[in-house]
Amino acid sequence: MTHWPDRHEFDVYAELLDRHIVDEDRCSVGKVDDVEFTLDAQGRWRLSALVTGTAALHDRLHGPLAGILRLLLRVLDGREAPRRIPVAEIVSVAADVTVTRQGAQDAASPSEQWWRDRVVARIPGSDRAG
Amino acid sequence: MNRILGLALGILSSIGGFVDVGDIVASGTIGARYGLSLLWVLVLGVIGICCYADMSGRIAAASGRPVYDLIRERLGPSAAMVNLGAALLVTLMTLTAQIGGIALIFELASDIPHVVWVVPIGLVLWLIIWRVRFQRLEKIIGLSGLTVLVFSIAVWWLEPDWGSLAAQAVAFAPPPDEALPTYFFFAVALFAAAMTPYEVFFFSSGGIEDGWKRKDHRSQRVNVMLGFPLGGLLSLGIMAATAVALRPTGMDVSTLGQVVLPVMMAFGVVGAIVAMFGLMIACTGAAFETAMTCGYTLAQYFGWTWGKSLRPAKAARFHVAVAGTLLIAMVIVQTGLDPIMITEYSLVFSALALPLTYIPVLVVANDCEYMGDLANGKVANFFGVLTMAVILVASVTSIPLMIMTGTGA
Repeated sequence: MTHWPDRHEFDVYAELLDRHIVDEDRCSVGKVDDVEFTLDAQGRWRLSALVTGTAALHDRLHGPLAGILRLLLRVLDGREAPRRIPVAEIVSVAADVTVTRQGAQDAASPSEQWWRDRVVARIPGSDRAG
Repeated sequence: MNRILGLALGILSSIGGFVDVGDIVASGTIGARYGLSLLWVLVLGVIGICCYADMSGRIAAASGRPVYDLIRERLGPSAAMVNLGAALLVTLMTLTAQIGGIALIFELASDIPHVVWVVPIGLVLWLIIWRVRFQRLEKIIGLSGLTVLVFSIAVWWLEPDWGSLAAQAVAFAPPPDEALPTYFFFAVALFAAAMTPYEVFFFSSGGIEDGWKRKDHRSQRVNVMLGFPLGGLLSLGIMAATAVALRPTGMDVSTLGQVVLPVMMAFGVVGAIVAMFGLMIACTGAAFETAMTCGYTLAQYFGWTWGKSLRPAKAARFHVAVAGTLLIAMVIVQTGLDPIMITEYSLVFSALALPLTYIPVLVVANDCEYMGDLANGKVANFFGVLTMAVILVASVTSIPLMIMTGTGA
């Protein structure tokens, strides 16, 4: 297991992008759909945040795939805007990226919430595991 | 006793995965037309699905993550999305075929047209997904699906000429009056029915839901090595039954009623009822697995919370996706398209899409970063690569054979 905050160099593609993000209770948060870099005072690029959300993924795709995703975003949920998880909230990076509960909460998917509140939670039995 | 019930996941996967409407139609048609001369394909299919289900089970046990989660990481978002699209399309077709199959069985039993049954079937399926516990469902479907064995018993009861059956089984060629391309078309369909892509996705995701850990990989291997060959035997029973009872009459099987006919000849109406019940259970298991698989693959690609072991409110998008695919499949069957035709097409497109499913599984199972000491050994890779060769041949030839033979007409 690699503890993230100590790392100086890494391979964004191999170690971060498209990894599954979970919180400390192993609940799913989303995927690393994109990453955000900021230029620091010394002129070096530093990882500042993970970005999750289908809209962020859309920006990485091209051609017809991006088109399909755009359609999907429009039809299914206009609520999939990119959400940031600041690098300070990362607990560890291994097979999954683990983030703090707070980071997970801030990056929780609005569309998951929308479907839960508007549809699923209204159906009897939604509070009992099947 | 727990040990036996622990095998239930394997048996459910094999009943629902191996014996589904695709197998019933393929095995029934093939038995009546070619006797047992395509048995070798069934054997290849069983070896192939055992090999790849074992890999996907090991992936789940070793990494704690299902196959689709890793596909996106390994292939990148674009290739994985193409893969997702193909997997979804084929799985949706397979789900549609199962619902059509169940509806046909009810039509057969009640004489009421199959389109009438679509909505009730869809509702019951959704209720099962919504309410029934995974472990309970495994046991119910696994055990009651064993009634498909009535086909095998019927074969024995009808006192066939065992010598001629054995001769057919080792002929490796069509009967003299049958054309070679059609023979190979049915070979591809039968292989695709055995290897239907949703099986590995369902098996690995189901393993995660059952909470498999690294230490469980042995018991999951037992699951695979018992469950899928059992499914193969059930399929063989159907094939042998139509081979024994219908082939001598020259009857071409084109309805589910004809598939059940051999059991009726052996055991009368009671036998037919048991057979229809068994087939209905097998299709229901497969419908459950395919609907869940649509949800699993979507959720695992996009990183949604998923699973039946969670409260539905905790996995809202997953449940919406599963219910949505179920609804689309119901609408397609409701249009009145012939379910047998849907089944045939679903088999051809499954064959076409086989490499998209199985190549990533083979790649991930060889990845030591995820797999550690559970990565593929020499034996697994030998059978994996061998099966992959067959998969590629089946995939490349599926569409040309379909066009050449007019879907095996």
